[in-house]
Amino acid sequence: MGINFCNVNFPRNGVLASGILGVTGCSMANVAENGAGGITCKSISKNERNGHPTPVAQVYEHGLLNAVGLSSTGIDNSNKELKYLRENSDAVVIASVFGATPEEFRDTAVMLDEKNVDIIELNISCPNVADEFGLAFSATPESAASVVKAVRPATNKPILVKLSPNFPNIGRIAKSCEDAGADGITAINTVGPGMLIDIHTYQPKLSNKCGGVSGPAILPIAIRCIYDIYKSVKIPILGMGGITTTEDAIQMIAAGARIYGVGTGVIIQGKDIFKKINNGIDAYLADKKISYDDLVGIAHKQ
Amino acid sequence: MNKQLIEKTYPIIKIEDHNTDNQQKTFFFNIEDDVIKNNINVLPGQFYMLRTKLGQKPISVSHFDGKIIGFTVLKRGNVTADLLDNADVGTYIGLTGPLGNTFDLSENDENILIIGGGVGIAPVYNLAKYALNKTNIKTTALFGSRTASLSAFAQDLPRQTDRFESRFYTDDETGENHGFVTKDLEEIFSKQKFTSVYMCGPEKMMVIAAEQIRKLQPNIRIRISMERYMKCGIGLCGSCVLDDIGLRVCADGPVFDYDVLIKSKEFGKYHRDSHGVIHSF
Repeated sequence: MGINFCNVNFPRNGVLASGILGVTGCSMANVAENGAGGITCKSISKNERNGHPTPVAQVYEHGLLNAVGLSSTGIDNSNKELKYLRENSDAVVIASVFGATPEEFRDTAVMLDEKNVDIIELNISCPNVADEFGLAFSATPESAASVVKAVRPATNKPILVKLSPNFPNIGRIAKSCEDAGADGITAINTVGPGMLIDIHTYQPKLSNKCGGVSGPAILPIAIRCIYDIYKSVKIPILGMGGITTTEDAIQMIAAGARIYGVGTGVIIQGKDIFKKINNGIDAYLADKKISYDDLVGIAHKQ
Repeated sequence: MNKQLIEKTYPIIKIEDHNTDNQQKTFFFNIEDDVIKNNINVLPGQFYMLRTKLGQKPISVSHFDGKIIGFTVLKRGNVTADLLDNADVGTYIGLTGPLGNTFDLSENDENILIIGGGVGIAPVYNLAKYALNKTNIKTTALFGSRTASLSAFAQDLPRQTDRFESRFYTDDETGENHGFVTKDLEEIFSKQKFTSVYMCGPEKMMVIAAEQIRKLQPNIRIRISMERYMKCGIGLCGSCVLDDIGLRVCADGPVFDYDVLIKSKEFGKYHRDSHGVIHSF
């Protein structure tokens, strides 16, 4: 089923979240081939960045802790990878960008090769680089809006803003992004930061000590955030956070997500998770005898 | 979450160094509790992420008897140097695994050829031991290294029985045979046909070996264990994805069919570093 989101036609529902399998063009194309309708690349910075040393990810009983640290091949290499993705897939291409200042967000967004990008996602909520960048821009309505305001006049592409669940009033923050000219909201980024400790060496299990929490553990937080955002804005929501099953995705859509996204779920369920969830949603809608549009935000009508 | 993805920390119970002047050691751990509690089985070709206080690296399993697991580690970067220089019996190391796929001995395998080069001997030595002790498959194993001490960990294999043969080659004069691991291929294939070839080693060596083998026995099944820079090791980050075929070495591999690999434009040609930037071999 095709789906319209931010005036862009997605061939299928389901978006690969940023940071998962999003380094190389063929890796992303492969996920699209396995059923994702949209692909978000790993966040792009203007210059090449190393990210954190290993270990960058640790699985625990109920989810995943990660601190990759915004490693990036820089804008030139990223443009090449996005070109490959564009030429080898029918998926909508979402370019995730980040910067240390609103101006750097703008400059990086402008340097994207626009023919290979459909939507720009502003990653203002990475929790793992606080030492370098200070408080995330998604911390307050004002700082979030400042990034949108810087980028908005510089591009004609639809702008998504990726929000963090880790600050109060996500609804108000989303509204300030809408007022500043954002076309949609992506939520949520990882929860936390969190920490795991080795019980024999007493070292934190990540090199960065703490990292963002994702996976099944954060699903209820994500659903509540989408519910709050839906109440606050008119622009559409790309809902993600802890989705591993059809039932999870249906809850996210019922809370108000126009489309759904999967990150950690891809490593738990495999790359064909989008195909499975989309088939599941179709069967659910047929069973309930409702349309997809009826389902979006249906929890608010009860 | 999938149990094998959750790191457990174990103390080293034994270290073997085989007079390599601290260049290569084998570290052993008792993972019986994980085997029993989580129904873990470790098959040849699989690897673990090993964590020291300096970082985490993917290391192939070289020994497994159902209870004791061994990893043969060559000193290369700061994490492996930390292991070789500082780890002792009793030192706790974080183990995540078993990860990745296996060499996947075929049901049709009756007579297999195994080739290992450098520290790539580690996973295929494990396969050779498995074939010898757990199957009735006729096996020929060829191991090449710079110098004899670097393949010493594998030299407990029998040289010649009615269904098992191993030969060791060295670049220098310290070993049983001087020269490249590929030097006797023509002679070996002139005497027998194989059902499969399994290999691991320097990528250029594997390209040369596979091309030569396909000439000696067209269409033979060849399974190749690959190495790429891995950041997470659990299929998440995409650092180790092979170009054009889009497969992850950590989660879709590390062992691939040669016919799949030759569709990858980077096979034998280039790899990526920790940033994702391309470097030629």
